[in-house]
Amino acid sequence: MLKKSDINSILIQSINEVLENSEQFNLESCFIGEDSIIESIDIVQIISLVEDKLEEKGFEGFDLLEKTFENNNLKFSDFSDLIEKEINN
Amino acid sequence: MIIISDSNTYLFEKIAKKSGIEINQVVSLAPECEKNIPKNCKEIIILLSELIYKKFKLKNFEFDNFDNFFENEFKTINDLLSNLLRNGSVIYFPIIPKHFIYSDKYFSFFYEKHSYDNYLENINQKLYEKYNHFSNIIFLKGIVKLSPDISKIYYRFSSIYDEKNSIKIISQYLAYKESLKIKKKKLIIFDLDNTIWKGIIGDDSINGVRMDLSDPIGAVFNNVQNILLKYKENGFLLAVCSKNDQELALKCLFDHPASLFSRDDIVSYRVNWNAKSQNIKEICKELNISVLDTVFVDDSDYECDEVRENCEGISIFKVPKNIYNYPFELSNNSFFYLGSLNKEDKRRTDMYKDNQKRKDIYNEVIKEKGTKEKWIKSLEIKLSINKITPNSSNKDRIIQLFNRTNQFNLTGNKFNTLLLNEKLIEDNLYFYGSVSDRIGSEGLISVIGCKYDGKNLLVENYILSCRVFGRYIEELMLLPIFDYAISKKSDIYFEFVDTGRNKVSKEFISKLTNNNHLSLKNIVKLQTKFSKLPVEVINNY
Repeated sequence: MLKKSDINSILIQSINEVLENSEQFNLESCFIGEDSIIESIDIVQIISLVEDKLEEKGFEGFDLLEKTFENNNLKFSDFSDLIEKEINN
Repeated sequence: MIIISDSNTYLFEKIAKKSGIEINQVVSLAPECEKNIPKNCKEIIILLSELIYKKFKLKNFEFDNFDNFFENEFKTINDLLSNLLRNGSVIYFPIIPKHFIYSDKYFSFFYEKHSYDNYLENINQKLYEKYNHFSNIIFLKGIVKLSPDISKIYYRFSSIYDEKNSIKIISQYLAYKESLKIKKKKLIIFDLDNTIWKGIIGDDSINGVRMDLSDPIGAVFNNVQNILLKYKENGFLLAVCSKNDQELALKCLFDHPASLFSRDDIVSYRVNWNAKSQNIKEICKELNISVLDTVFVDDSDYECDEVRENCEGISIFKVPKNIYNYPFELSNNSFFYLGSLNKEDKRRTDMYKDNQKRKDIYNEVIKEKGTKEKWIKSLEIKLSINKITPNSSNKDRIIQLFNRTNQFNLTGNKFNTLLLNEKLIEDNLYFYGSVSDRIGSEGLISVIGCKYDGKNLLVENYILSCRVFGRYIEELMLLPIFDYAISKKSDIYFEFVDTGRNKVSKEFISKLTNNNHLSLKNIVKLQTKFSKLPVEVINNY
């Protein structure tokens, strides 16, 4: 089990590491979808980084990429919910 | 910088930008992709991956057809390199790393019969052999081997350039640029006893000193002699400074059956009981080389301190206490780093020795109450002047001359391939001069460069090797600039910068010009005067 606050903290760390203008984003910003201003390659990188950080905490083998792109629109908070659902299932 | 790649380089670009490297354009590797690269591009990095790996993935990949593979699959890269190298851009080429799947993974300690590792090594070797002789291609050691940790990035991004690998290549690029800033030395002055042989010749006699391969300590000193001679081959001048009986010491140095040195290897020596600092200053004066460009090698703490104290700025290499470390430390010390070599480097000792012969002729002529003109005439000097273009094959020597010349250097400007290309690409006028005479060839000894601002001609660089001072070369190298100024009916201005070390240049310019300025009228007068000097000028520009 991983607390929601821990998941959010991993997500924020990943955003900060990947995006140069990370201060413009918060959990309510658009992650994927028409309104997203994030380059697709950065999206893939954020997902990869989240997976790596989850692995460090012992949650191995999650492919969040496919799950994420099953959705047309996701805010960072939705992505956080998706992570929580995946690892706690 | 422009990136040419066959794969996704997004992460590389990002990290390069964070490291302060400006990425101007990313070009996909494809036939004739060089057409998309601007002619004045200064730096290009080629990041390869899928070109090779995609072949490994084929079911019917054949290991035996290496030559075919290289000719066919590398046609694009061969054409690209051939065209880009002609443009004068500096090209960085990290060698292709071994793959994490297509590799000798079962038994990493030997080459498998169908070895992917060996195949990749051959490709890198072939590329290196084919292009290494170009001065403007730099082979970086690259990633070496891809770790399986890259799998996720490799499949998601179709790229081997993840953060870790990008940082590795960028660090190599930055380290290479730093290496260009190292001030290169010219002269090694070494002691004899316990420095190039084991023992003290005065106490142990010629037969008692050890430098032969038959005993372990002798082998260490034999190796040290080999390393010093290798440095001489690479362009260093070797000189000896030793407190010893001269006759005995030189006999041991040149006639001992195990000594590797011959008289031709040593450009000057001082073997006496004077202070070593005094001897070193004399050698430097004789060779016209600053102590700043000199390395002193000695085993004694006392002598090293005395020299350090009295020859300010000299570099000192002290023989290590653990004598078995001596060859390694001598061969890895940055004092002895010279960068790339050219044909002048290999002949440097001969050229200094030739100069000694010229001085002897000078002394003979003067003794017979002859004139400087008579001496110059007797040397039968030929000066060949050529225009420098981005394709000139001797740009390495030109850069080296800029970086080694202090006394006759108009501005003290230092160059690397990049900066020189910038000058040449901008359509400035740059010329080099090569000198030969009846004693031998001096090689490329001068460069002059100017720009035309539409009204006047500005000489922004002018260097001359100290070896040829006073032989009218400094005057005659101005001829192509005079020709151009006359054709444009313009004056000439010299952009002199006092570096504190370029007094010779300062005196020459102040005698020649009026406050660094030459009027058209004076240019015409000087051209007529210089054309009568007793030196044959071969005009190739």
